[in-house]
Amino acid sequence: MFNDIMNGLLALLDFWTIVAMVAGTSLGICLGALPGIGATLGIALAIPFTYGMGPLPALALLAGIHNGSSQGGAIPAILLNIPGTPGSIVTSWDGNPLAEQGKAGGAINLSAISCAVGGTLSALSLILLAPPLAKIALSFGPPEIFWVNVFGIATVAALLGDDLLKGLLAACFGLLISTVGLDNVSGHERYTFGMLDLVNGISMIAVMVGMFSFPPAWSLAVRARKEALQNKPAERYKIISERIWTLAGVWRAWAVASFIGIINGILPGSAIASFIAYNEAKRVSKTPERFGKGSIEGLGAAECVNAADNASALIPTLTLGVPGSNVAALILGALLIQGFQPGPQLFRDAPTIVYGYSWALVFTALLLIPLGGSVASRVFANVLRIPTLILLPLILVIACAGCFASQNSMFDVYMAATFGIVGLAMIRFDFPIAPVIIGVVLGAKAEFNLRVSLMMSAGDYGILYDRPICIVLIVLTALIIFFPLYRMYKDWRQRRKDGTPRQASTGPMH
Amino acid sequence: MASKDTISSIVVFLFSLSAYVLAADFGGGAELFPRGLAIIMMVVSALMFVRAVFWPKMVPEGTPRMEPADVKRTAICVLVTIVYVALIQPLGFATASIAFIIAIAYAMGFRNHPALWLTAVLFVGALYFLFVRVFHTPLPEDIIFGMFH
Repeated sequence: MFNDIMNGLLALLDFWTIVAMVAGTSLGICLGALPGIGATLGIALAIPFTYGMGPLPALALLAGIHNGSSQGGAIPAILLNIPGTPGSIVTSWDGNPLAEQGKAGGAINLSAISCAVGGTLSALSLILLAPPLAKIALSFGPPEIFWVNVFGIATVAALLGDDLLKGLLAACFGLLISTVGLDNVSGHERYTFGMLDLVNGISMIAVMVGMFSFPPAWSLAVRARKEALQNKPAERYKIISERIWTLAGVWRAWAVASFIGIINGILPGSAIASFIAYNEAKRVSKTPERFGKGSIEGLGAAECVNAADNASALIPTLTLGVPGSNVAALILGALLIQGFQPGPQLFRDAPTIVYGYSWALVFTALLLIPLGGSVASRVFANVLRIPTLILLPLILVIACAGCFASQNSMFDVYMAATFGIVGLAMIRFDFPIAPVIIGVVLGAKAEFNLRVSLMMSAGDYGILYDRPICIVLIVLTALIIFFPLYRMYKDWRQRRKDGTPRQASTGPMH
Repeated sequence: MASKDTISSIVVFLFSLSAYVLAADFGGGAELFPRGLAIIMMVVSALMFVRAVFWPKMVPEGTPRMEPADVKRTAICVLVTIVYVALIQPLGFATASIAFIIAIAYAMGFRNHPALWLTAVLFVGALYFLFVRVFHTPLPEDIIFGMFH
């Protein structure tokens, strides 16, 4: 294992991989700095570009975008009090007061270092925790792998939105999309309606780019039109890069936030890690009264936790093939596009790639110190001057070019636009998007393992529930699904007793 | 008026029913997975319908609603995008993209013409160069940029 880890590190010492890491991190910071665009949209747009790249430069680019966008979100949060990403909401609580005190440059520097600390510790946790888990998972047969996939899909369906029923429907829709085309086992055509373009199935890139790029771009334009007159200029504060923090002042906040972020990444579903980390950092702080008024600990904790779940979220993704977040689902798709089957066998069959990618997450986190600090405050903050109304068509043009280039097919562009419209309708009707993508990514694998299991047992379904690991996974899946159902039932009984109707949700997480 | 959940549960149920019926022709075991999924979707959408009818959602006071102007703007964005996607093949990528950037920004109220035209031409030119010259990936044959080949 040690040799594999070192080989992964050495593989990064390639000119184009280093260029990809620097470019990806810079691009990520810029994308994160643009309110409404974050890691998910950035990676969705970048994936088609990685089609023609080697596996390691491609993954290094995505690692850079992933880590860069975590820090980029802090720039508008600090300068304009507009969080660039959902995770940056907490950043603005202390970042913006610091900017108002004339410490904008120092605040951006602190945010970059905090992200670097969280991102590095998270990537190291991936390198240390993933191999033992992969070793256990390697003993899984087709029935266990089928249930791992079902468990992953159920987890995302139940936890990544706030409505279990809609999450399940979205996941099943994604799984159904994955069945379109030629059946790998029997050779039958499914849902092709006589169209040759559908025989090879619906392109994963088209679904990912369509659902994650088109609806946000449209919403961004509509919002920008509404808020056109309310935008504050980025150069409102004089940006002086002074050091405003000391290690003794922030280490507690970093320790608490890193731990919470890493655990949050491994156990998907919590969208409130930054709030928890902020509260815990305040609890252990010697100066809790400063929180909300420009506390360096508050800002440090908020930014550290934002980056700390980046790499750790990939532990279940890389070892079990079960993505726990939107970005993880996209990374899973990127691995499949590069010809790798995510799961425990990845550590056995392509250790250089998987450890190389893990090290790329470490280095791109460290790159945030030079790129995310003074460079971000002087150079990348200028992206805030780009009129948002121009961004909409640019995003869509990149999305269409990327979709076409991935397979030289206009049909993929038509599919992306179609799924963009479907995605928009889903958002309007409060359905989460992430389970669809996870269904598309895991569908073929889940079906293949189900069919192989049934062939192994000559059609006896008992093979799916007579193995100990299968039983554990079935129980876990049942708990994931039935616990929210039970909560819903209890809520319904309580409200029926009180005579109050059901409260509308605040909307799913996209 | 029917709630969003009522409408969506009916649409999803009909969609799943169609998926189930269409899967009948597959055979060779290929129908197993899609039919299973369709059944799950029908059950879940029925549950959603029951929930929407007997336990409707209450939208809290003060929740921002989408204004008719926003619906109109979204519809314009979607329509212009559809037209753009349809024109990529006949006009070529670069020409259609430049026209799209200008048209949609103009439709959304952006009036800084020099910035708009310059951004459109430079951005599409850079993207075209990146794909065709750097990545060696052809984009749909273009009536303007094709002349420079």
